[in-house]
Amino acid sequence: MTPKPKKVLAVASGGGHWKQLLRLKPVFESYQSYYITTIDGLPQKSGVEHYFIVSDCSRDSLMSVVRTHFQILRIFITVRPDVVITTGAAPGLIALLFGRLIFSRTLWIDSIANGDQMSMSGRLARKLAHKVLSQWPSVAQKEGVEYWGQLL
Amino acid sequence: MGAAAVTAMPVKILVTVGTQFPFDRLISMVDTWAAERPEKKDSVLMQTGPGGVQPQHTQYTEFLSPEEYRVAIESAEVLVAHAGIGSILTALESGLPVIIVPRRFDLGEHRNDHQSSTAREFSGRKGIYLALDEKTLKSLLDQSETLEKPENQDVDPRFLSKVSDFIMGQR
Repeated sequence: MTPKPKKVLAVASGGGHWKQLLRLKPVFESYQSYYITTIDGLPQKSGVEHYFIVSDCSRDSLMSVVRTHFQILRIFITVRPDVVITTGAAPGLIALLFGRLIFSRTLWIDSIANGDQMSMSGRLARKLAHKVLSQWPSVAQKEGVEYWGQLL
Repeated sequence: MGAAAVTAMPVKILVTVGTQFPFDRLISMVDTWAAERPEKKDSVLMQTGPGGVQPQHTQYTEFLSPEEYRVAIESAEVLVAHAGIGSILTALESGLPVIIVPRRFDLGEHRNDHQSSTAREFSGRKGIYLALDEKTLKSLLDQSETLEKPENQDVDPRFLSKVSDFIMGQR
């Protein structure tokens, strides 16, 4: 009997976060993968099969944060991922939180935009995720996280 | 309005400031340059961001849909962008020379100064040009046809296999 394929939920806001996430598409293709992003049209353009669009949110607006929580919660009820991988930003952090609640393995990859220090979301992710990466060796060392390379 | 103008003429110079904030300093600098280059201004398209300044001499639109963006990237010969990672990665993927103008925290153009460090980290790579002031930007725009193209590289396969190990619970 072959084991059930792992279900991977890959999460990124639109723009640069999404572009970095998609650099990992060759890996995700080996698993049963689902994507979440914030701009409709991006997943279609990237040729991914299963995807969900959620509203973007930031800490500037509490309502937007609450709305995105509900949207992502619904996705978790449908998908029940084994693994959650995100390149940020806020929606990725929310996905990590729900991931922990259902015992998924969780990976935060801090955006390559953060070459001086980790993002605020990344610092929060350090408390939540099983593994946190920075894409800059110096930042990884300073913040006590791992460096695996760059998603360029 | 701007959005209708998107299809007017093949875009040669595409200016983008991302979707989060306007970047009026960049838009105005390119607009001033375009005013002095009537033969070129019709092939300039600027994506000005939410509530941004409206240029007088080029086509513009607040936002581009992913599809409109793709079409503009395909015809463009140079991308002029804030130092957003998305824009830089687009340029690398498309083999399109990119002139980056970092948003400055001290001018209230972003929440912090990370674009300056992004710009520093990427400048010097082939096909990526840094313009910290108007003079540099204008001179780069003048030679936009002759700028070098960047080369895209694949993600380090060791990175990919580590992510795969993580998914399998081995890391």
